[in-house]
Amino acid sequence: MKLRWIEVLLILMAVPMLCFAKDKVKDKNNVEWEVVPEYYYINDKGKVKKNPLYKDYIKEEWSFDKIAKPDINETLLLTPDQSEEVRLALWNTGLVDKVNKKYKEGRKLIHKELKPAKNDYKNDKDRGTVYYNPEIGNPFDPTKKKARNYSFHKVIIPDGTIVEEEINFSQAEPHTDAIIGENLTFRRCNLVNVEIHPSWILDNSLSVHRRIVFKEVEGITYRCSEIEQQGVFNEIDCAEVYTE
Amino acid sequence: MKLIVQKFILSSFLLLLIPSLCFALLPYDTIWEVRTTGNDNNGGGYDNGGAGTDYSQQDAAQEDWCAAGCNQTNDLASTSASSWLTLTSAAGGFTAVMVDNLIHITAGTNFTAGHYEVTAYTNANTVTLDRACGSVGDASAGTGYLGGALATPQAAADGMVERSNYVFIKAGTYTSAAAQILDEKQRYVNWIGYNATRGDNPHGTDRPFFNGEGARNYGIIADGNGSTGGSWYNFRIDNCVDDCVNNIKSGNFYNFKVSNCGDYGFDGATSGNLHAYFVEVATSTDDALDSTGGSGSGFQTYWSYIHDSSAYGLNVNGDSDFIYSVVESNAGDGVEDSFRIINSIAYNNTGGTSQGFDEIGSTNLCIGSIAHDNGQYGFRGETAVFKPLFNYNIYEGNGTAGTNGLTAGDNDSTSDPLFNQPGSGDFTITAGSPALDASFPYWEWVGLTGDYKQNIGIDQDDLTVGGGGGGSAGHVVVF
Repeated sequence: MKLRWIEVLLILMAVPMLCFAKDKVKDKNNVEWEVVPEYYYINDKGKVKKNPLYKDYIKEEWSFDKIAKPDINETLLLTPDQSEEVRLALWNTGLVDKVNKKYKEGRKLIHKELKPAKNDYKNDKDRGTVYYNPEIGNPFDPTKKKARNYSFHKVIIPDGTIVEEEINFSQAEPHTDAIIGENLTFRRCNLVNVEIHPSWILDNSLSVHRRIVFKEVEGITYRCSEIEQQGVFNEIDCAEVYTE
Repeated sequence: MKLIVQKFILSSFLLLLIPSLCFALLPYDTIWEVRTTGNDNNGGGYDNGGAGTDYSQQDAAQEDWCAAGCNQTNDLASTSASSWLTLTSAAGGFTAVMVDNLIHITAGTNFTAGHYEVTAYTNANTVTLDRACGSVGDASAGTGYLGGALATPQAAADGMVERSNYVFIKAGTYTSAAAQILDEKQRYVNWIGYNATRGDNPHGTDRPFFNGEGARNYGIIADGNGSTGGSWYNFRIDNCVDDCVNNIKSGNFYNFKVSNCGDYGFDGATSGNLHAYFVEVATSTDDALDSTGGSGSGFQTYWSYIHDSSAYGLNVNGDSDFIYSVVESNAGDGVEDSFRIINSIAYNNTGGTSQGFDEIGSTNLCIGSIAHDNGQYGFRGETAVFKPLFNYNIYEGNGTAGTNGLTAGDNDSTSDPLFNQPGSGDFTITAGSPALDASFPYWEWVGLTGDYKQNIGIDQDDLTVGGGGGGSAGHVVVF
């Protein structure tokens, strides 16, 4: 097959376009955002500043816009499309709306490989409901699961599932109803502060309820770890808090 | 006259030598043996380089003296007249090749229970010990076990009377009824795990396993009895209520994995530098590696893999390194406040204020590293006043921006590092990666000639021509 000169030219023109192609997403108002966080950074006063590496790219000051939580009922299970919309809101980079000249601050608020089940993310210690992801293919060990950290999430796990190989379900507060599922088996998992369902089987998994308290004694602050034993939290370790 | 002087010097030397022989302790280089099939009553150790036969590397004692079930009756005795240095048995049982083995005297009238080294053999009924086995009155009716391995690491720790011993621990599962599986009692002890033969440096599940069973507060209290902790080689610890390794004071950890820790994975004490080499920390409830208790406490981390904790990967106050290591998928900063970050990767550390590498100080060194897909910033400086040696790094795909509070390096890249398939199990770089050969050209600075080019990140594969893949040589060590 022979290419005409115009075809060759078109291909050559397309190469740089491909090289600099950026992901684009649309929000609920159908505004198209370009994922180019490296053009900006947020300074200590919350202002968007241009990255000096790209100082010639944008000439004007643009407005700053925080991440907007999708307008979806927090209590309902998400449809696949809604799940993707919520995931995009929780795991995204900074976005640039070049038409309206706005910058939307990005955050990676949840693990890359987790799929939201509800639109109920609140903060770093209450990261919302997600589905259990049993997929194998961890970036650093292909024989292990892609997602092994569900800390501060509520997790929906199909009944009867065997969850094994060091998965972290730790919660911030004791007795958190964090896992939805019955007849589950956990092998070598971290279930700290997770309320345990009677139908579950725990095989060499950590299931204590603990809290961290800070105490001041004679002007010195201590960080103390307390474990619940027979309904009472007992101190097991205290260490002085160093302040620079 | 000359002969008289020589005799005087020689006799003086011998007189000086006698007390040192009488009161020698178990030597620094005593080698202990622990295996699940051993017994904590056993002697458990042997003097390194001894002239006898090493009976510690067997399950059962070579000879024992007890009321029932032993080869000999419990008739061990020692007199105050011998300063409790001579151990006798009317029934006998001693042999010449038992010299340099440890005998564990567990009970008896006026005996001080403990592990003693047999330093000399007189006959089948009499041997000499390294130190006094009693202190009041003549000792009698003693129970003892010579040779044989111990069953628990704590028995070895309790048996030591000097620092710098060696303890070989054979693969198997170790636990305890105490609050911890092991509490160090001496300084500078070398704890060495092995699988089938000493020195085989096992990986994965072939390493000895300290199981906290969800009931032990700690796997190890590594403070060298309040002084300086030991060196640890080839172990696993899992499922501890609090820290998996607690109160570390200047300890060294090699080929060590901890997981499912109720608080920190490794908890540094208020002072002392901690060293982690080929260490994996997984799924801890708080920081994976924490050393924030004092201004001088640092954590040197090399070729390690820190992942899936509920807080920071590495959190330190003092002089610290993070070199050729990966910190990923933690629910907090990847690395907080390390002084030197070299050829490392922070990936997918999530949260509203989670950085890949945080609090990079004005005089810190940060080169050849990648921050990719982290919560807020890839690299964040604690001050923008002074420019750190921050260069030859890649930051891409981080939540808000690649850097904050830093002046970007002239040789940084904001392009996708082009990992092969990070979502499906391959984190090596591809042929077109901006990381390839792009790290700090130190060779030009120090006068080296030749191909010393390094990649940014940990994958140092040169990539085969036309291969397009990093190949297995560049993978991070899987523990």
